[in-house]
Amino acid sequence: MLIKSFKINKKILISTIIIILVVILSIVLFYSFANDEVDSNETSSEKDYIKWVDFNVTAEAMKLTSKLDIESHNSNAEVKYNWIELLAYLASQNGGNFKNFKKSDLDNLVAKLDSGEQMSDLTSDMKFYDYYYEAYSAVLSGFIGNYSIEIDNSTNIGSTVSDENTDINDINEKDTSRCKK
Amino acid sequence: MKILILMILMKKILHGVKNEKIMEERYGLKVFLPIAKNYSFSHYDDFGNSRSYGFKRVHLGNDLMGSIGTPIVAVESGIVEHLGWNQYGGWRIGIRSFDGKRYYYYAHLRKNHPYAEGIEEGMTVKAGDVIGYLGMTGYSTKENVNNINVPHLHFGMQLIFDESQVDSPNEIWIDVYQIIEFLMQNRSEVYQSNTETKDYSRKYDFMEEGFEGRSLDVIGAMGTCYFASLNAFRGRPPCTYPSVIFIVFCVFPLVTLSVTSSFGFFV
Repeated sequence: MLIKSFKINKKILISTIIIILVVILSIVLFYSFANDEVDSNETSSEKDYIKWVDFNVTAEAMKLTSKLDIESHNSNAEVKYNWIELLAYLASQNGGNFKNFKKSDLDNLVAKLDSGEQMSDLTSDMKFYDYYYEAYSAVLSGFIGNYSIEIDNSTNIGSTVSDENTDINDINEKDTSRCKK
Repeated sequence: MKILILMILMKKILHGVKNEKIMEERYGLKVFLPIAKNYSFSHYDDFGNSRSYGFKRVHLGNDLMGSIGTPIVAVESGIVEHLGWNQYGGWRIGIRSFDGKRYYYYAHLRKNHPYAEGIEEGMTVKAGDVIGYLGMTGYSTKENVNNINVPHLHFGMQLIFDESQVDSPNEIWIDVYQIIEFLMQNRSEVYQSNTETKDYSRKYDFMEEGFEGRSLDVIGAMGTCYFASLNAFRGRPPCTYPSVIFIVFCVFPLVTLSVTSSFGFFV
């Protein structure tokens, strides 16, 4: 109606729309690049980032902590563990060297968390906890989380992702029924 | 997530595939061993061993010895940042995680047919997707040359806390031997999806939150376009304006996507 009443040429209307879109895009891109420049200046002046990481966490430590993390989340436990926090705590105690890692060290930490102590309190005096947490987060933060996986309708849950698979996916099998579609 | 699951199911229905598989939501390990399921390999902790090709240097990864043609899968979802020939890595592929912190490096892929069908620089891959095939290319400035005696995958992980660390003497590569050991429990099953090219694909689809964000941006952009067209041409059949359709469904989505990506809305 609007077009008809004002007798606007359709070509002119279309051209106008395109021009408006291009102008908006140009403005947005200009400001986004301008912001990038500001950001890069800020980062170059700060340069406060981790320069080196020795990742010496053993597969055993990763298995045990990831199991705690996954199990506590899938069972909706009162205390939910974060495997990166657990590893960072242990690293703060052993200097990042897991060669002499003992499960009892992890058990002690878990007992403290279960008794209601907070990780922030437990690590408040640990000088390098933040470093290890950030470093290990960089390595492991994409490893555990929510996802969807296709499974055979006719087979048992969890039979697809893993083969000779083991503890962690066993946990998934047991505890994911609540979120099954 | 649910929208994506719905889209996958719709795609299968459109392709006439019976609903033999279902998507299941989980919380757990969402990274995979780089060697596909049912393919054997061996490895030892060789991080830091000396290497002499090109210049004296140390080995910044873990070599997984296997058979030529073994399907290699993406450990973590991410964006293909590098693809092509490198004199050290031969045919190699580099994938950056969505958060930008991890750069996964897969090198010495197969001669002549190094990459999985459809893999391109800039594209997004999902954890467990087939990205290439094990080989022994590299140690040559000439493309497609095998100057390595033992077929293997060189797998490496670089940490990036600041973009200045990406390509500099201050690169941080970590020892991934223990990570490979840890990932043994989660392997992606594959099948030969193209008998002509002998390409492989993953058997079971996978979706995670990073993909949800990306897809929802596209869906959101398309939805915005749709409603914009309805409002702009209320009372008139939009199909009478082919140019407008083009603007609304092609130009506007592109503009929207450009805007969202420039503001870092993508994960």
